[in-house]
Amino acid sequence: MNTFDPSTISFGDLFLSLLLIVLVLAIVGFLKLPLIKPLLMGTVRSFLQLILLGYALQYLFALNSAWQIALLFLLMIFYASWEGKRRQKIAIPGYWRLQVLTLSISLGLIMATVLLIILDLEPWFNPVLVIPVGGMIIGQALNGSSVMSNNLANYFQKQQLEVETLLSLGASRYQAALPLIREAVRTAMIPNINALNTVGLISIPGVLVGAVLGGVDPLTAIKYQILVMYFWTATTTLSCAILAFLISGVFINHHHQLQRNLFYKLRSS
Amino acid sequence: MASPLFELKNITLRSNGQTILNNVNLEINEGEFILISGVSGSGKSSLLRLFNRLDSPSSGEIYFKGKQLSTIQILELRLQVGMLFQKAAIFPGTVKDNLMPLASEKEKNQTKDKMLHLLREMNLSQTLLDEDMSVLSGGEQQRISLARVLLNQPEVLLLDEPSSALDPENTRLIFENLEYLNQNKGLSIVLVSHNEAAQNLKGIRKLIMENGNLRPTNEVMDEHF
Repeated sequence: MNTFDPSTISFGDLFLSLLLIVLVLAIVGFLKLPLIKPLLMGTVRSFLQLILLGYALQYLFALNSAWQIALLFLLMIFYASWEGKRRQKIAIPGYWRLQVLTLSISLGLIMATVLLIILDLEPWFNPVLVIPVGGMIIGQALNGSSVMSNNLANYFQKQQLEVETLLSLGASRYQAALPLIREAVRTAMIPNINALNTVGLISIPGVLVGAVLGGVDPLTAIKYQILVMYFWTATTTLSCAILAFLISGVFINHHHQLQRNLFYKLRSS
Repeated sequence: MASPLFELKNITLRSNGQTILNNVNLEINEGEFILISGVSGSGKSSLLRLFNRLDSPSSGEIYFKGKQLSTIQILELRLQVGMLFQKAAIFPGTVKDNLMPLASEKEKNQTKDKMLHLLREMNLSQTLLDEDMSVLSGGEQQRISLARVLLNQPEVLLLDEPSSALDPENTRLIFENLEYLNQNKGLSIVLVSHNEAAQNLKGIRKLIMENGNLRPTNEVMDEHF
């Protein structure tokens, strides 16, 4: 008989979970990885950020207007775009703006599909569902598209000759960028596709574990998990494709000229 | 009187605070074979990139057949003004895929006869068509790249140090191709090269680029002799 009560986890129990971080520190120390500082920072930040989120959610779940929720998402998108910009190894002019546009379109389209078509939610801005779903979409779009844009910038830098050869043969800027866009989007999609193929067999998603531990019936949790997996994949693909075309439009201008000076600046910096 | 093929008026190019080209003036007539030489960093490749608008000048005007370059549809211009780079760009697949990297399989098959004809003109074996491009020698790859540009049937060919990665034998072969294209096909050519062998090409007009300025080589000759 299962006597586990999900409401019993205390801050003392969480403190004990730091034992796992001690294990990580031991391995990092043994391998002399230069990760101790970011790991400690990450451990403290994740604790504080999630606790804050817990308290914030209690307040946010009480929001009852579409405008308040839209404003919340806008702030989240602004911050996520700043985080995305910070992650770029090659400085892309106007990246923050492009990322805001990408996240806004991805959030709008995916959330409309999930909330209005699939779940048929009425009203659509029920904060208990909308805020976590929106947060997941923004987070997933940020992770996928920032990896993609780093790869894409790297391909542009390394394949200037190929791009300029295609442009010289009369290709438009998007025709010339398409091989690089394809490769960058494909690479970004691989983790999602792998997850779709292995979920339930060799991996149990964290969200599902969290829901079951939180007391939700496993079958209900699984139904939502399937939905989550599909909209994660859709979010990654959509956000990567949008941002890839937007970035290509920066690296190759509207005169179909590769902006090689962007790469010179990188080399000299 | 017919307009020159290309006319450059007071072309200046600045990049990152440096002057790359300084008030360059030049006229190129139809069917001419121009050789631009000069030391590395003198601005000759930068000049070449202006002819097909891979770059734009900071000031000055360029005319192509009497029309301001900036008013010509850029993709159309690049079909008429082909360009070959120092190294061959290799795309995944066969020589056929590399000859038409933007085309569909159907278009490639429809153009097969033209491709074979071009390989023959470049003195390349026609059996190369279905070979993997990446296994060919540097010389073969560069001449296939030349054939790739020629498939667009350009009126002008721009070449940026096309022999810099080639041995003397392959350099000779590619220069022979260029002489043939200029003299037998009437193709106008602008060749940037500091290769000694280029100086002996038939029918060339020699120009020298020095610190962003262009002048005929005989001015250099006058100074030295």
